[in-house]
Amino acid sequence: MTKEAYLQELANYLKKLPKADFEDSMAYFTELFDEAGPEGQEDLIKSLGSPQEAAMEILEAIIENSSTSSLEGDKVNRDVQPSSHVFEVLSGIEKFVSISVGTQEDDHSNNLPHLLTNLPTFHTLEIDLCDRDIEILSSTDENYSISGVSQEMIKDCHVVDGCLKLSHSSSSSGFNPLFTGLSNSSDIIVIRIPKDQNLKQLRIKQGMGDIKLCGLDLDKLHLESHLGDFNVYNLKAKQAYFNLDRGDANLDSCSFENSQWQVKCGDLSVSRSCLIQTQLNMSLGDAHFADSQLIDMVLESNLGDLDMMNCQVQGIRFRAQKGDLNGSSVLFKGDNHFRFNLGDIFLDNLEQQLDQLSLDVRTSLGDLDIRFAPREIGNFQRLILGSEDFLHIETSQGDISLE
Amino acid sequence: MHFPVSSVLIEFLILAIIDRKDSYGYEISQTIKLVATIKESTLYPILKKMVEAGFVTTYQEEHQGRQRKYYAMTNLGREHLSYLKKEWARHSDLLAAIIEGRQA
Repeated sequence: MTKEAYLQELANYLKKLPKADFEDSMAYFTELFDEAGPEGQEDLIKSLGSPQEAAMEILEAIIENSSTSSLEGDKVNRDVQPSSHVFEVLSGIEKFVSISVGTQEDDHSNNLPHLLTNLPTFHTLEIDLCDRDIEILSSTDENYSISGVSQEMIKDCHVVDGCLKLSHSSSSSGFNPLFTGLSNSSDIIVIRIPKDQNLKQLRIKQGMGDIKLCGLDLDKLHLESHLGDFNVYNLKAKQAYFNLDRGDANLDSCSFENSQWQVKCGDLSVSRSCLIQTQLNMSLGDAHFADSQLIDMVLESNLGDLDMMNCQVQGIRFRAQKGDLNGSSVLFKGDNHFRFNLGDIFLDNLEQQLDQLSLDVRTSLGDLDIRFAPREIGNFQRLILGSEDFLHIETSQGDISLE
Repeated sequence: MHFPVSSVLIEFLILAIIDRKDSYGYEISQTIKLVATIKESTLYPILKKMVEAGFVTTYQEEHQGRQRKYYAMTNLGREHLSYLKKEWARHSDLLAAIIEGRQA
């Protein structure tokens, strides 16, 4: 990496800082490169770490500082706590990545050994594995089946009191999810559940493996995953809890009620889905919502951005530390609140909803760009005078643009 | 480096470095790196904090056609340094006493 590329990437990570902080930090790093000279450049980069790491250290220090000093008097910012643990998490990323590379390349053969069919009916499924990929799908016949399990695991595959437990403990004791991940993990475990058959409870605890769920109807879903990704299609759950450490989550055509999400490093992508009563905490990743319905959602985001496309949003409370919001063709219902610290907010296509819009948008340092259609500007007055609706737009240092 | 160096100690070292003569980021980092595994990016917030605390002040000076940011001592920094030196003398005496098995 060259000096220019390094500084450019660093600038990208730091661009949300107040101008003075940004310029001061960039000047410091530019000077380091100048002093090190072309011959010292490589050593300097080695010593600095990646631009991302360097940026995190600066952001951490500045966010910590700003929460106690310069932004203290800012009511918008008052109860947004910077979570410094995120940065510790981040600094661990590369170590994990380098370990996981070997297993990600494994190809999954279709000839799954050890197929168990005609399992007794179960209503609870508990899975505690670390390094295996898991798919839980609705089957085309009336059969409960499982495939891809090892010989030792088969011995423990019993349905007791309507509950099937699959755990790792039978094949090794005292496992460390990171290091067992280096062993063989070539086969996907596939569990099939008859279509239209409801599961009362599904609990999954994963280390490295990916999880795929498709066509399920669940009362309760509890999922913890360390490194793997989480893909869900066509799933219904009345209650759900997710804790994803480093993996991404993709939801397509799903319906969740009462769900609680902790997404630390990965991204979250939701399309064609309906989320009712959601509490979502994002740390580093981005969140994308498309063609979805979001009702009663509390969303907290630290560094990631948020995209909303063609969504219907009702009663959202969204707090972000650093990320931006990019909302395109979002239909707002009920009262919606946005509190951003460093991020920008962009919303467009609001003109059709002017007579029912209740929106409260505030940022500390971010810019606001809110667009109605120009020809409807006359309605703006009506909006403000509406009895129960409100439009509150506020920023401490950012720019506001209303069209 | 076998012994970890805390950020308090790094502040101490920075003060000691610029007490002798004004110095700039790169030079300070190269000296600190003789005793501590530290990234320049970690040093930056520490320097910034010391400026904000009033121990250190900065000025720009031209060097080979570009600006260099120099860090210089303040009176407050000098006071703090003499306090740290005393504390360090006490601390290292105790360490030596323990290591060599003498009565402290």
